[in-house]
Amino acid sequence: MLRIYFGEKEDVMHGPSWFRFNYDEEWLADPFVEEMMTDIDKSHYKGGQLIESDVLGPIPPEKLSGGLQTLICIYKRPDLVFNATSCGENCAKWLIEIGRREDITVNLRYYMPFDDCGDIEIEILNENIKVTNAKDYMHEALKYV
Amino acid sequence: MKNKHHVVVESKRLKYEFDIKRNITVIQGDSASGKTTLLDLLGTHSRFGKESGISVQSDVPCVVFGGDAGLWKTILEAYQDSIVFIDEDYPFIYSKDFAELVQASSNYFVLITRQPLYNLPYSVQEIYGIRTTGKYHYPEQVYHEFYRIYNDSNEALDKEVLVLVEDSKSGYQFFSKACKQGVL
Repeated sequence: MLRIYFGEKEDVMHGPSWFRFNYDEEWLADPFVEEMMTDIDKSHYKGGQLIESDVLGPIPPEKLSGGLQTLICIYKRPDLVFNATSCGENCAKWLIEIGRREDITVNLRYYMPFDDCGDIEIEILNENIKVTNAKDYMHEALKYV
Repeated sequence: MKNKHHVVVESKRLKYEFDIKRNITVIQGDSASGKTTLLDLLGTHSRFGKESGISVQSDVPCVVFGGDAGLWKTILEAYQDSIVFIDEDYPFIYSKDFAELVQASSNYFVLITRQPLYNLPYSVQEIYGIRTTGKYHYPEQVYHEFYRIYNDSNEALDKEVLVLVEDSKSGYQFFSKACKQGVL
């Protein structure tokens, strides 16, 4: 399940920095990671350290977007809490999908809408409230950001 | 520094073209839209100039804040009459000290952040996203432009509106006038 703590919080990881210095090459070959990479970054993993971006051409993993790097960290290291503010609104559906696969906790410092993400189940840790639809989520989230 | 500044940043594969109109501009929007890449281009051009293979056309210097976040005040005070770009990774942009520096500065600031900047007075019209036009055909050049995230709305309210203000001076005067003019 996806758990979110809204607002400033200590001891949360900065996804892009953490990824650049700690990612594991085999993460990139994970079909789910490849799916996110295609959708968000319009890029495709070619093996080793090589990624082909439709916009930038051949790039290393360090040049993936901060949002995608953070999502990969959240997915692959559910034991850590990452600041998902690096993730734009186009990452919302993927954050929900990761929450369906793993128990994850993230920190958010802006209102990320989950309007078009299908069924949602989010625990908002500020008040330990569980929301199951986008409208309830909005009312809760906007109290904090 | 006053007025609008037209900026064109270009490399063989990427081109960004935009106007900076006020002292505070915020860039946010989707991941992978090219925000960090724009700062990479500007930062590399600041460091190596034309030798970087990047061209920057602007009537004022465009600089990217980098380096020790603990020295942000000293570094930012050294810039004059420039457009200063700051990425979201620097928490000082949310501080009251930064807001005070911005107010007293001759620079324009372009801040990349999704997080609200409660201490800074900035216009909703100066919050932009970056979008690309056309299709990607690497290695052809990809053109990026800014777009306003919050467009003007002409929707008329269909209900009576009662406006309450907590003070009797400037807030009351402002909203009284605005309501009479039908702005709200």
